[in-house]
Amino acid sequence: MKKVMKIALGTASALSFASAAHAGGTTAGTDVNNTATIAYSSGGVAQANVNSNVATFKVDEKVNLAVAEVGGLATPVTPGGNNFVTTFTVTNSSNAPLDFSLTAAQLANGATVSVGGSDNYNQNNVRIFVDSNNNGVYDPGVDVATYIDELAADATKTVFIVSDTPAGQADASLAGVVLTATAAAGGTAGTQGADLVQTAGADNPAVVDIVFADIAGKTDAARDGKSSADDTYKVIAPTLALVKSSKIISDPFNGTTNPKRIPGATIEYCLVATNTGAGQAASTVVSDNLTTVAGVTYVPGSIYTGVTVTGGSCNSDGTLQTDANDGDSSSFASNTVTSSIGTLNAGASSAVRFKVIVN
Amino acid sequence: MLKKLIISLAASTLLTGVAQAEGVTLAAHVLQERTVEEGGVKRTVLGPAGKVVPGQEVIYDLSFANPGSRPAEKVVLTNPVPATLEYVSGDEALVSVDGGKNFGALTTLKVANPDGTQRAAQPRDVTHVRWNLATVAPGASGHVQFKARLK
Repeated sequence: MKKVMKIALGTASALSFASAAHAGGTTAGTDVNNTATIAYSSGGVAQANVNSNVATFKVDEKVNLAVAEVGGLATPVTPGGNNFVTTFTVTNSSNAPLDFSLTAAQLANGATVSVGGSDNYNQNNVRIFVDSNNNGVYDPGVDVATYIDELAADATKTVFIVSDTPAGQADASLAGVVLTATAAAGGTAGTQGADLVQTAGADNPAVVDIVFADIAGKTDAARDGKSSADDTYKVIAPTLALVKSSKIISDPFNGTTNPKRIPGATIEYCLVATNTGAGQAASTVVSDNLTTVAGVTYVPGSIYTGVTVTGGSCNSDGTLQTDANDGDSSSFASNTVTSSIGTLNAGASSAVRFKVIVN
Repeated sequence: MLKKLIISLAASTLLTGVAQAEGVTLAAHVLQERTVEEGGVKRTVLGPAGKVVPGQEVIYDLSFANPGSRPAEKVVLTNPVPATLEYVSGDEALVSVDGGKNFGALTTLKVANPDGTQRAAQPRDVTHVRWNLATVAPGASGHVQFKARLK
């Protein structure tokens, strides 16, 4: 169709095809101006174009954010250890830069933790730090900020929860932690803005109103200006079990042929130490105070370590130790057999055997 | 014949000499749909745009009138879509997807893909909206609307 009329393009917008906005949307506070134009003739003569007024509205602030756990795995911790880290991200999907205030909480006993299983203890000394150098790693003394400052629309910041593990906490214990981020006013770098409040009532055309558009998180509701997610600490510790058994070796009358446990008989005790936990046990020491075993007397020089075990019974192997408190791993003193079996890995066993005479 | 010509000339002098004294008028309003509840009944009403956040739709109402004594002819109403809005739909409008050079029904228009092939134009490609109103008689008025979404 051949166009005879001069086409009036109006004054309002640039001929920009690319979106000026981003996933968060057009920046809050932007004035959206619209002008229409009429071109016409009268009596066969083209008239000057007529422009409308500028129909305008101001873009209000749509607050949306998301806290997410990083990694999908529990952080392994050792009892009595410090500064264990769980990692989260906070994403600002609003249409304006915002600050975010941060709080940490621990799941209640019995609650299901993020990796499955039930929360059954609390970590100590829980702290929050923002990843200031964006390397995804907690750098003590470097990552010191406790709130997120001026996070741009569509940007993400990494946040760490750092905490300590109580001494003696049992292997496989689980502690769930929750990070909650709350949208706060942006605008001044280096100063924490106040937590945002949604604008109630009618629109105020003169100011940028605030609308919460977030969904519910782990422990927060939809449209509350908050998001939350949880992560888990899991204790990796040794769990030592010591099983003591005895077998009759000989008696003065039957010798080693069907001996009986009569006074004067020789009994061999077998002590089997097993680490049923997930963590390695270091400096493991087995001891047996024979004063608590009424009616037996230790046979000097009868301690063997590194004994193999078959069917729960000590085999007649191992390395002979001296009774003296010397350079080897074992000693006998104050009626107590003591044997250092060193490092016991998760799932490993180590056995010690020694003999006594029935009084 | 001559008489008529004189009248025409006089009329056109009037029109060019006096800025828009009897010219067509055009007003633009930006509106939002709202759900109001009155006596337990929910209704959708159209009111001035208030809290608009990205993702929400607004409706532009363009109302025109010819207060003059002569018909306005070959009236073409054009609205460039603001950069921060995405066109959604319009009352029987023609649209341009090439910055206002060519206009047609959206279903007939094509847009080039980055690789040079063509695809059907989508509402989001619209850069301008246009209505050919033809003749607007003296004393007549009307309005058209189009809907857009804030990016």
